[in-house]
Amino acid sequence: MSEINHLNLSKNGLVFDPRTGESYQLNPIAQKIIVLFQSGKTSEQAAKLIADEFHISLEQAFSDILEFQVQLSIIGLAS
Amino acid sequence: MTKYSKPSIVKISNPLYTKHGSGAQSYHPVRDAIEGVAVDELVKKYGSPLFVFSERILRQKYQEAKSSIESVYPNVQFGWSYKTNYLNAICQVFHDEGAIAEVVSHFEYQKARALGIPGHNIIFNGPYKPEAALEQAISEDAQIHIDHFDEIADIESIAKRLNKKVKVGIRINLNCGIYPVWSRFGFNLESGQAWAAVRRIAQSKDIQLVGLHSHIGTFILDPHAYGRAIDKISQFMRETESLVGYNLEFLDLGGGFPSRSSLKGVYQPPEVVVPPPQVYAEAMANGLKWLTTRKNMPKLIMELGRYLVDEAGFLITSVMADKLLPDGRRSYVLDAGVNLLYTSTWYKFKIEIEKEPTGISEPSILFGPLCMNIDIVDEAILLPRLERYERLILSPVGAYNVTQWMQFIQYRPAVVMINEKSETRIIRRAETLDDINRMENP
Ligand SMILES: Cc1ncc(COP(=O)(O)O)c(C=O)c1O
Repeated sequence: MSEINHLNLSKNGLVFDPRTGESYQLNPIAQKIIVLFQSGKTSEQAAKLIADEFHISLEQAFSDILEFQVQLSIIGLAS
Repeated sequence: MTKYSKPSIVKISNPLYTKHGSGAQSYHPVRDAIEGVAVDELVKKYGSPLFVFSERILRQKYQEAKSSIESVYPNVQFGWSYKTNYLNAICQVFHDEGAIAEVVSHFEYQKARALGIPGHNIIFNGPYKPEAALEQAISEDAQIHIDHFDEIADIESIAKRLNKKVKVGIRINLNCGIYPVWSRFGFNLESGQAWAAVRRIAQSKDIQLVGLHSHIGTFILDPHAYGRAIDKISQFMRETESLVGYNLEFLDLGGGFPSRSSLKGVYQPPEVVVPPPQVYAEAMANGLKWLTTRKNMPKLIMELGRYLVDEAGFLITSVMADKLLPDGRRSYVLDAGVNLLYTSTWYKFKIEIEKEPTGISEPSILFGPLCMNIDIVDEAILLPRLERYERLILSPVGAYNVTQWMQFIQYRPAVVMINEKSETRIIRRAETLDDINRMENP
């Protein structure tokens, strides 16, 4: 997910894509996942960290992150 | 610590945001109880999906409409439009309030009779009245409103057979500035057809014309349409009375008052565009004045349907799945769809969520449970990210849904009534396989 390195993440959960000029609103979990991706974590690693932090199952975290990645690619923020 | 919720991301320029303002933080109407009974308790006890009716609202709507019309005309009789909702318990509430029955088929006629309504308290409308139904209605002195010339002949032949003179009304249709004109029911006024019907009946030895009926359409947002209709009917009534030589006994203006629902294509909210019944009554007042001076003031019959029952009905449905669509929209699969919400084709329901929302709102689409592409409950709604099994409360759904619902793919669910003491009871249980198989032969 290195494609998302260009995204500017602000503290209030807004993401700005300098390539397209579009802005996006993210909820706190989505913000965390973006930060994890930007720091080079794979989806499996991100799922483990999210599952531990929020006391949810690894399976749920992994499904949600996989779907989130699909969504990022649908809206053109990652390929 | 932040509570976990599924990751969500929403483009700020999404048209739904532009329309509703960019408050990305959720505001969404919440409802955790209906008439003081928790949604959670209702679902745990009776299951989901679940139709819920409020007896208090039924009675309140009835009394409000009745007293509004009575404030401009003292001799008013309401006829409960069975097709709008003919669950026995619902009909009972309106009969208890003083309504007679208004039916449009032999089935509905029989339903009213089974509820103990005598024939003379049944108005029999509709374009198709089979001979057996007419015969029963005539022998029980029901108030038949004739729809077409063939029906005049049918009634005459039954009257001869039963050796009876039958008192009837005729339905007339007219243009009072409402589009579409419901010109397929009854006799048309402007073309002279209604007058022809009066002349035809005036010649009959077996039938006596005693009243006029008109139902101009449904969800009529312009109260003055009733005023215009009354002016035309009044003129026609005068001409009729001078031909037959006696005063008519009733004038039936049908239904059509809107409920606070959102008709698709009407962009202002119902609170803004839907006038209360008093405004309709006032629009009718002038045209009715000439009748109030009569010694035997004719009865003014109203057959309000959706106005009386729509807002008393709620549908609780649960989110069964959360799914991202390939165009990026968030979608949810609900356990109730167009199989239960026939009126969703024309009306956009108010959708409340059971729990206080957290997180940002996303443009979402609500699908029903059918394996059919058309099963869409709401195609564009801004919703916070919903959790699985979370419940939504749809309203108003009391009119025309529990009569036009389909047993298609799914069973039809239970219907519960909440009385004025917040006690609940099942007024129609959920369907079972046995209910359906009982009618079949393998
Ligand atoms: C003859 C007649 N009366 C009453 C009604 C009830 O109409 P509404 O629900 O619009 O009040 C209808 C509905 O179509 C009708 O056809």
